[in-house]
Amino acid sequence: MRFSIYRYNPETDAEPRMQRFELESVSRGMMLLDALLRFKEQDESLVFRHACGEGHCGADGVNVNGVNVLACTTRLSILREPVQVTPLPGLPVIRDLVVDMEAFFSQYRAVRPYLIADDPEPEVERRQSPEQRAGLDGSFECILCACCTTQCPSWQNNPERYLGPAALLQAWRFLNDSRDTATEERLNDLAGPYALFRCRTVMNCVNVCPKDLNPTEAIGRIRRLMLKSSL
Amino acid sequence: MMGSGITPWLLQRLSSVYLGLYGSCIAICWMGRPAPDHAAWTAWVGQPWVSLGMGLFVLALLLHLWVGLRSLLMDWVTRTAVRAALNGLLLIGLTGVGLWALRTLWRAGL
Amino acid sequence: MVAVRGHGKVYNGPCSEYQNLFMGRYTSVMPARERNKAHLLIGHRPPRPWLSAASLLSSTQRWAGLFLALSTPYFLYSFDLSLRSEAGFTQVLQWVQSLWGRLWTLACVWAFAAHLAAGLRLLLGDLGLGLDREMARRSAWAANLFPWFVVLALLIGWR
Ligand code: SF4
Repeated sequence: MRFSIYRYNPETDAEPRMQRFELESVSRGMMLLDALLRFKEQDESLVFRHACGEGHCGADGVNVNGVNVLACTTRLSILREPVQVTPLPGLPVIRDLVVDMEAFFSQYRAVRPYLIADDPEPEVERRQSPEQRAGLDGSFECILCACCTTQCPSWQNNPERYLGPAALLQAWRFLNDSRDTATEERLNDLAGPYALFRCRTVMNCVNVCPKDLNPTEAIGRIRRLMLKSSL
Repeated sequence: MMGSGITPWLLQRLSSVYLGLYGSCIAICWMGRPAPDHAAWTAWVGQPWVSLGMGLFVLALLLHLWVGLRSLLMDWVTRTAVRAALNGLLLIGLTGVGLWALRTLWRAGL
Repeated sequence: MVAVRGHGKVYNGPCSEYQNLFMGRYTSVMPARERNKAHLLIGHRPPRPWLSAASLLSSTQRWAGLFLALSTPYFLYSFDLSLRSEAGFTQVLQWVQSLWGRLWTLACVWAFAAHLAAGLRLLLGDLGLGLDREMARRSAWAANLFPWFVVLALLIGWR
């Protein structure tokens, strides 16, 4: 199986290049991450992030043939040759497939992804009914892999001002939390033409999310909430 | 200000509903009919439901154009100064189109 | 085909909306202070940009909308002319019934239908309908095909 992998070391290389790799035997169920690990045996200088190896940590997001995926959950058998592996688009490259996620995480921090509750602290804990808890399904599972945000053309157009699907999904996760009391402040954070309203429902985020989450729907819900609270 | 995001978005959606409905109505209304002559055409446009509807249509169109082109500029033009200048041109252009349409409809008997 | 652009820092990978293949992407993903270091990365085939039905639809809607917006003065001018005088009316009628006039009308109808279909889908989405992955894919296909059916119907009507 033929691969072509993005190589770039900003300290020594004038410009990025694509390096060819060859995989002789592909066993059933082999994932892209397994291939990358083989290549690292061949060429030690190849750098990429990986940790859990089973789609829980979100460290190994890469772009394969144009689509953002997690290397560890992508079967080699579904890929078209030559497999072009490049870093997540739109983020600064640190080395080879490793990108600087700071821009992405600062947008995550911007939505204040933690519970804000001003009401007096209860004796035991802040309770939720099973239904209220069920409302958080589909938003708390995000592993912050950045596959969605970096695949979004709207985010690519305004990477600094549009928050992107991942951050907005988390914004919704806390707006929708029955225990959270900062709804108004949160909505005010999202005000303005850029932060939320650059979404044009292209739905790349929904198509690439390895956890099958739906940031587009969350964005729509935030808009409806905003509409309700501003009327 | 919450308004600078939600208001244009709402205007875009509301105007689109009217544009779609009225536009489709007019299209269906003339479908399959033979081309009129000048007198019939002016008489048709002069009817209050047509000319008033068209006045509203122009208003909705201007709003829709403003929101759409503004977001297009936000996506494609990165330099703030250039974008501001183009936004200004856009507003001038839209005002011009609006006045022109108003004059036309006025003459037609709005 | 789009070339992969590398430059000092940011990797501008393949992007999946056609609008971005033409403009926008190269000007904005790179921060302005780094733009002068930009250079083309050549010597290999860049990844094919990935294009889903929904992103094609979104681009179509934008380009069709731009086309309609730019032809607004044309519509207004013809409308004005047709109401002004007998002669103006005949002039407009002759243009609309000429071959080029018909082609132009066809293009406008296509653009309107495309913009309308995509917009209708967005409005349904605003109401929370059809936003799951499968439904969105199917409705995107339907909306992509809709303007072609309208144009076909119009052509049959003209015959
Ligand atoms: S929403 Fe999905 S694609 Fe986006 S960061 Fe979270 S897990 Fe990754």
